Amino acid sequence: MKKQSTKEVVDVVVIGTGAGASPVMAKLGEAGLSVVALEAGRWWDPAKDYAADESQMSELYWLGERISAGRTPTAFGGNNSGTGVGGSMLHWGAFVPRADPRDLKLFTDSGLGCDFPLSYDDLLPFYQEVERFIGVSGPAYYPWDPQRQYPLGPIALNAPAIAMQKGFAALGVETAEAPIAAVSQRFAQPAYGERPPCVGCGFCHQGCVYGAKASMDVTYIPRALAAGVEIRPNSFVHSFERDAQGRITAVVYRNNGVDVRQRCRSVYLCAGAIETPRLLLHTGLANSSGQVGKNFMAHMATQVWGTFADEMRMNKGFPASLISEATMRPADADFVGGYLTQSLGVVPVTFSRQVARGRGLWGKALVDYLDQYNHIAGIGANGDCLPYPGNFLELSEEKDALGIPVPRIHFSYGANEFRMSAHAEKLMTDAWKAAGASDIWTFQRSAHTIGTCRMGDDPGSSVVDAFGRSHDIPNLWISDNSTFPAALAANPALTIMALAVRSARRFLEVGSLAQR
Amino acid sequence: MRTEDRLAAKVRGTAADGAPTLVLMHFLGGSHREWDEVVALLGENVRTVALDMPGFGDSAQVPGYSVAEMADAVESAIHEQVEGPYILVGHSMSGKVSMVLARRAQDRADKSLLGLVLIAPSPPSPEPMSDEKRSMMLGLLGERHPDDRARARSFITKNELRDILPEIEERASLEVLRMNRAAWTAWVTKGSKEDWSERVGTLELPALVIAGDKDLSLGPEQQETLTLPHLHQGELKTVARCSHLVPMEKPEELAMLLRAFLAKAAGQAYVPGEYLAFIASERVSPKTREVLETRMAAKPPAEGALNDRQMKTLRAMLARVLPQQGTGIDLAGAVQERLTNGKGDGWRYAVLPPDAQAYRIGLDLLAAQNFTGLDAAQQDALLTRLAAEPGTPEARWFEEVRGDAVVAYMAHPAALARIGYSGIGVGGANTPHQGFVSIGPNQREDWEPLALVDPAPGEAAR
Repeated sequence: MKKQSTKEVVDVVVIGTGAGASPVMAKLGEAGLSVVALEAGRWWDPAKDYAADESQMSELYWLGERISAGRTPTAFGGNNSGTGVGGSMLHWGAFVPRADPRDLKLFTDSGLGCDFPLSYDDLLPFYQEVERFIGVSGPAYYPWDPQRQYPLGPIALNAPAIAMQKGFAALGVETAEAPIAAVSQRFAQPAYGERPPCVGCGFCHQGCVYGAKASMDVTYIPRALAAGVEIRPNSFVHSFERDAQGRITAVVYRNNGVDVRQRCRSVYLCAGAIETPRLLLHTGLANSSGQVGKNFMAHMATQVWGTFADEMRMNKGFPASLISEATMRPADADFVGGYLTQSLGVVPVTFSRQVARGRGLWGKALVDYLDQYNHIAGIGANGDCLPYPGNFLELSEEKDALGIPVPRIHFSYGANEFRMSAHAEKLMTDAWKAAGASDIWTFQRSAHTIGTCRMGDDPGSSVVDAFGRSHDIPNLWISDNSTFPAALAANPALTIMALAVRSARRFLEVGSLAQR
Repeated sequence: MRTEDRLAAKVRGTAADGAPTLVLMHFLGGSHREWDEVVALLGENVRTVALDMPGFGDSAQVPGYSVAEMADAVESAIHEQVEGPYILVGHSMSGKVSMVLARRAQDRADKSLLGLVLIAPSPPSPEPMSDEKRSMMLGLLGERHPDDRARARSFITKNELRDILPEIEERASLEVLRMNRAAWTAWVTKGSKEDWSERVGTLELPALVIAGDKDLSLGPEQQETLTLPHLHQGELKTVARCSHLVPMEKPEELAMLLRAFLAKAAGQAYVPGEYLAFIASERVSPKTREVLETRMAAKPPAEGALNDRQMKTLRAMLARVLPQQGTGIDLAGAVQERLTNGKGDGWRYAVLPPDAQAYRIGLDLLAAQNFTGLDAAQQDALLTRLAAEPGTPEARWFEEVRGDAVVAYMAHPAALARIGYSGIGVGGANTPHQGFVSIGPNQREDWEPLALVDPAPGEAAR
């Protein structure tokens, strides 16, 4: 790996190494810029460090304390952010639907929510580029977008997927093999080597040992390193230095207990929808709109579980291998927006925790239910969430080990989320009944951290422009899920990567010229 | 004692260093042979000493049929046959003798007796048995009759009501016929009527009471009323579709319960040998194996975020939150470890203080209501009240406790073995890419472990 000097002024410092950061690193490095990426976590060696064990691998999660408030507080930890070179993409589910075009202009269509300042057509070439590069597996025919073509054939359906297929077919609801960012066949990955096909071990959320899953450490990061980008692990950014015009001139981070200052011409802040606004609020930057931390969103992610006479052994195979987008705009909806559904297999510690917490079982009923693990399977929804003024991130009075305030996140469902969840619950329950499940129950949950630094054309009501550039500080760019002005029903990572590639291209067009 | 007054004993297996010996004592009319199936299932790594009680089996000529005399004889046998720690396993008549022995051990502060397993025991108080039944029993086998074989058979099978394999029935009936009829008469007319309830009092050692759900005279209900009040750490396990002769009716279940009790007495969770072999196999990566082995060997910090009193309350609470069915995992220790090392899960509810503080407040609250002194139903009522109002700090903390308990449980190989979990066997770092080939419904691969219990789906949830 090429090393940059902290005495030199580098072209770009990238904060974070996840889905928003890695494509930017690769693109800017390949354009010949000097790039240093700062990662709060360690550098993992999957072949040495990864175990097929959930508790052990919880080290991949961002475990710094977050305080969850509101009437439907959302869970953090394993539910979203990650730590380590590659970010939360080390433990992501690699479920990669594209955004539904209608979700990007929800406000125009419904008068609720917020439009993206860009269209599906703006995103399409970047979706295609990312899907080709990271190796997305999917069906030959995608029912909700017949033009779409995936570079690789589908990943095999596991028992929960086969059961969901049966249940949905009985209800007349269309399904398809899910678009999955794991390779279904050998795949030549530039700058990395050959990625072997997914063996269905089921441990995607615990880190892929094989490199079959498209984590950043087997896709964009090797490409960035080959282009001369330097990654510094164990580096937690906590402040910026600025010049008289307010432009950022240096990033200060803590490395092994010591503060290090890296001078730079531009900054890409890619720390996710919690750490990005936390750092901006802590440093008081880029917030003339007052929108930093505002409009926090989390997907409606209700799950329905059932017990089958057959052995399901839901830990086997790709955890979510079937999708339905049939409910993106249901005819009988009493809500705006929509949701998708996916089959679910969950490994036992995670599953047990949600049974104990979410189903509220305890005593002998808990032990007896867990005994049935090998017979249980689930279906989950992922649904749009409207931005509300009451849902936001703020700094609490509590401090972390570095003396930086711990974030408090307020999140309450509105009527739209409750109605959408009820709709999804009914569909999934009916499907499980039709598939022959018994003891069916619903786990109410939300997932993914979205919003808090929304993009928009109006500097008065948004933090960054449609390319992620700060309205206030011209050499500050944000690339992560914080810039989403709307949650979209799709799982966010693919869209984060597409927006990152688009942002990097824009940066190369205008940003680097403007700063020199 | 005269040599000929020594109890006959059948010794099997070798205990690992420091592991307790099981002293097995039979029912009225039985002998050491009632344990044949259980001993075989326990295998060579468990040391068992199966005794013939005075007047029965190979001890038919040994005199002394009162409860105190039987206890004396067993004590001598233990002195001769057992070195190191042991556990008394008493069936029916011998259950009463076991409790008397436990009282003696407690009085002389003898720490080598680690625990008590009582199988459908006759209680310390006079056994509830009608005079009619006593005369019926005396009439049945109190003296020799030409049709003794048929009489023994009817005694063993309870007129065919018990589900006992024919070859086991035949063996057991022949053992009945070897007994000294005076011993039978003495138990029916005297021993079973002796009142030891005050002298036995409350026993402090860990105790497991096992009863068959079809046992009408010494079943779960009678044990709850007559035996459990004598056992401070007593736990009752009901064996389904089983009557009074548990070792011969349900040897597999009993062997599993004994193994679990042994592991618990030795301070370890119970991981079946088959699952240990799976962990050691090629299917499990060296890193995964290391993680699992470290977890199995883990000891909670001697001093931690919670003090002794809070730990005592936590143990009692977790016994209700997650009543383990023989896995014996130290859940409270795992929670203490997490809180002490400040390893959070990355978030908490805004209504709660940081994790360790929330635990201290919650546990002190329960202790103030004398949680550990309450019976199970009262404890459950208190816990139910915690969850009464969703969103309150009490309800949120109880949610945290449930989550922490179940994570400690399911992370342990004892629980993974119980549910028949195959996920650890996918290979991984420094092993071949294995994963799974057969992933559809009912497509178990040959190497995948089976669950230890396979309940009918849907029955468990309340």
